[in-house]
Amino acid sequence: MVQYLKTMKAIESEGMPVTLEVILIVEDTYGGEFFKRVLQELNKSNFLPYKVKLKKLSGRRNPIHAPYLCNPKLKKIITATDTANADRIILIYDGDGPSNYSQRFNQVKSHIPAKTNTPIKIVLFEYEVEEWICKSLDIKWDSKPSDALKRKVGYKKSQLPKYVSKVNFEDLSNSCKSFQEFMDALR
Amino acid sequence: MRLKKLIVKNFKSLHDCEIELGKFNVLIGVNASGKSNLVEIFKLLRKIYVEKDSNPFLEWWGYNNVVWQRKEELPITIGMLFDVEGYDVYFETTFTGTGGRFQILREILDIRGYVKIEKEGQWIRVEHDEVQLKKVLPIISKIKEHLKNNYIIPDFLRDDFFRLNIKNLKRLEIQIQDKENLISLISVEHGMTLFLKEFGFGVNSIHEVSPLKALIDVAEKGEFSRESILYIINPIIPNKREDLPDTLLTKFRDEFYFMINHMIVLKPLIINFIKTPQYPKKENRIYEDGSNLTNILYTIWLREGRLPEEIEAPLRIIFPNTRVFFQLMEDGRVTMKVFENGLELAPPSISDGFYKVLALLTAVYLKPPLLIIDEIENSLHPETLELILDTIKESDVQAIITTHSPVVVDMTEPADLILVDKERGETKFKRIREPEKIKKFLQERGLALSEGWLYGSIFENNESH
Repeated sequence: MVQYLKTMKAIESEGMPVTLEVILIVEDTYGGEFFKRVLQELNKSNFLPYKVKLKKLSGRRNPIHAPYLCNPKLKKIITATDTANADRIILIYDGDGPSNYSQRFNQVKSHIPAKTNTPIKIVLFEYEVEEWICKSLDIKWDSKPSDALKRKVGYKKSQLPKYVSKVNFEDLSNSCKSFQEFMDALR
Repeated sequence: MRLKKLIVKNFKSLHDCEIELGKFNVLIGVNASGKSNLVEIFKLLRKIYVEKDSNPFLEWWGYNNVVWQRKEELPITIGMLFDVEGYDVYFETTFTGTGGRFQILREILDIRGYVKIEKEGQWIRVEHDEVQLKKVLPIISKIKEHLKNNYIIPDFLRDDFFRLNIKNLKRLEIQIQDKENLISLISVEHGMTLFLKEFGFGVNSIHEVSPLKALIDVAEKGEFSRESILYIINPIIPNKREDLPDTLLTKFRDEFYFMINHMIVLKPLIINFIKTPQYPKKENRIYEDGSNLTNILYTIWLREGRLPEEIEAPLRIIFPNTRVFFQLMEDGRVTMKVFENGLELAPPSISDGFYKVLALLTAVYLKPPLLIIDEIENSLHPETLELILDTIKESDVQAIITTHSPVVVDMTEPADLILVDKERGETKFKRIREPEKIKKFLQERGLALSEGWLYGSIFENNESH
């Protein structure tokens, strides 16, 4: 965090436009594309006083596809991304329901290397990414927001990136814990 | 219907092996361990049961090239355990091609806990489970009582019911005149099923003389053949038509043919075939080399008026600003046109990976009952592989994938991995017996799953794990 502020301040003092460069590690490809578009929308809005940019990596696109949880490859990925000199690394995982939330959080946390140069943040959905869409569209769900979306609007996973246009940042910033966490991770 | 287990005997290096299958299955192993042989089993089944090829071994240059250690005297056996609406249904076929003559020697169809049907040569035996018979016989007796006093019922249906007795149902065999395979001999007895459906049972039958031949006899001789019929009592399966439910056996018969006919097997693609314009033909199953991909997509494109979102959306994640169109050429052939940022790309300038992604996404879009992909990683960047694997996992398709790629392994849950190994020339399939334990073991040591596979012994299931 200290280093992030230092970087931002250093850029500010040079009078250049401030940009936060992030690396996102997300559970699946469609989720990655969704967040890419979320950042594009945030940049168009006034939610953040600076632009957020996905850090360019040499071998692949950013966001990065996370391996399944408990796969030590995640630690290796974080260690490698730490060398990319981004302002922030954000891990985004499903929480799979309030009863699993803290266990999932600790599982994700256990993969973070002890020493990194880049600040690392964890964003955990209460259930899954589709909760942002359900809350924006005022759709209630029982156990999985994606199931409710499938029933109500015939949702398919491949449509996830397209649903960014339905996400209401204003509403989510007041009512959605995971969205607030995501915004905090960008601040 | 989902394939739960495959048992193979004497096919190439698969001497005597069985493999448990889930919804998503990733086969890993060194070169020549037998991964592709498993893929070929499904091709052979299609040749036998759908194409009804009189010489199904021709593609392999003869039976001696497909049978274990070229021992032509050995028959090949393929057994498959299916989950059909929650019931276990096992089908086994044993055949030979010795002396250049293809012949099915024996078939078994076993609805576990209900009825077992066996065909050997032209003899068919049906054996009902005793516990089920105890349940169904009192019901049949009641229906018979009811029929005695009901003269609206046609005579033939009354006769059918009176043939249903313990002697006929416990174990019976007949010699059939047809040379068809067992599954295609199964007929539906709608009339009897209508009486039994409220008790949860239905009736199928196998006729000594085929129903078609019986009809011809009626037309020619003016009377029914005095044939023997085997009745098969089995559970009914609810369907959209409540008045006429399917029996489990009918559902299995239809879905077995559908699975074998519509499954998609993709081997490494021959890209130049895909790039070549084709004469349009309505097609709905991709060939294993992808050579008819343009026709498949053109068929979809004509039907939908565009590329479906399930194909286009993921394609654009990997190839942004790329569009695919189809054009009918002056000579009547159809060609695939690819544009990037509005500029047309000439086929030689289009990457192999583009066509591979398009073929894989199309295969998933077609929702085959079984999707088999040999060496999925060819031509694909790791992040493209991630997209493809996410798309397959998210779909309803049952998939069997072979790979050498650590990237694919690291994207796979340990429970979905199957190691293909050769022991003394025989292929063996192994799953990790306690996947959660292995996950913990690898995490404690800071090893990725692929590292545990390549440099460790995570499939040995020994106590140290």
